[in-house]
Amino acid sequence: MDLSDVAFVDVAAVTALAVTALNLPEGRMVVEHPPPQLSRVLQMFWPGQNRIEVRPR
Amino acid sequence: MSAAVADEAFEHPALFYSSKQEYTEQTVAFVREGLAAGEPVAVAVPGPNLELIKTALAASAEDLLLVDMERAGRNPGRIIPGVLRHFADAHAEARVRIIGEPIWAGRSPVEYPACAQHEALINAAFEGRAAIILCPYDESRLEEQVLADARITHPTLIRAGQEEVSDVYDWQEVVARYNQALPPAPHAATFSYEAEDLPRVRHFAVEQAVRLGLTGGRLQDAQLAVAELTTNSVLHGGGRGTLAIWAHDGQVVVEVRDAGHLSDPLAGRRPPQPRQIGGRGLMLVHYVSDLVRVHTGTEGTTVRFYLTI
Repeated sequence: MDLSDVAFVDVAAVTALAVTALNLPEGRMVVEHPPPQLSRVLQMFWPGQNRIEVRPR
Repeated sequence: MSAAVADEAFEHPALFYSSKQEYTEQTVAFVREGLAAGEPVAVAVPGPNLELIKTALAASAEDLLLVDMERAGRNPGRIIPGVLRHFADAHAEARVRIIGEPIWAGRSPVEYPACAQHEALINAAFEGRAAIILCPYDESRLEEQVLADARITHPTLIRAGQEEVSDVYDWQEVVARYNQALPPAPHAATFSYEAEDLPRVRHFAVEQAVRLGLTGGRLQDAQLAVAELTTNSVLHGGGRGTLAIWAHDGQVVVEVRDAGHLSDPLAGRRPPQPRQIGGRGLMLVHYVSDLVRVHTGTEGTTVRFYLTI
């Protein structure tokens, strides 16, 4: 998923991504170029999770 | 209303100390008792006191979690989820033992109401849980009001080696008493918003925060916190609200006022389950801020968060 065009994500948006990724039967979700809040919120509420791979801007 | 009902699983004594020696003796004895019983032990106290305990425990200090409360607990509103429940939930199978010292002599008058409410809310957050949380109070440096409040927020009191039941224990009274009105700041920049204005109020807050001196990660955090509080206004606070932002004493202060009512005193302090959809917004505000003050009632809610520049 490429988030290059997204300027801002709030907690609800990150939650939607995280819960979707946690519920995947297998594999990882790759999020490319997200706004900086994504990693910050993931670290805050899902520390150590490995179902989402973030490729920074 | 009195809440003086003994909780058989949860113990929450206040420890009144008046010297470094007394502090070290009492806290180290408390830690050793836990280690001997095989309990998970955490110590979250201000830096200088952490050093006293670490030095006295020597090699056994490696068997416990040591936390600098001046950093982890800078905002008292994040201590329950970020320090206490974080540790207890990581050892859910065991009775946990924690020293938590959230109030030290350098706490400001703006911080103190949130500190007292935090101490009171520990009783609600740990009701029925197998845990003991010891809260040291420096009798030689803290004000009499602080010591008096500690007797109301702790069901048991330890002084000069003697433990007694507090006959004034009533944590709800302290939560209510420090639910103080937050009068509008005269020189704040303000922006009133409804649902369609959420991106605009966020941009306004960022612009103002930059003007007042926030940069980098702190600016990102401010933006996240503003988004959560203003969205809450639209969803739960009557559909609209007013944001105010100003600088005071080296901090940027952001305030959100709306018609909502936070009826749950533990709102923002309950760690969410990983797959839980909601319940993280207010906790995020607590996590990123150096202080959060709340005034809530049936006439509306004001939340102020403080970020050090």
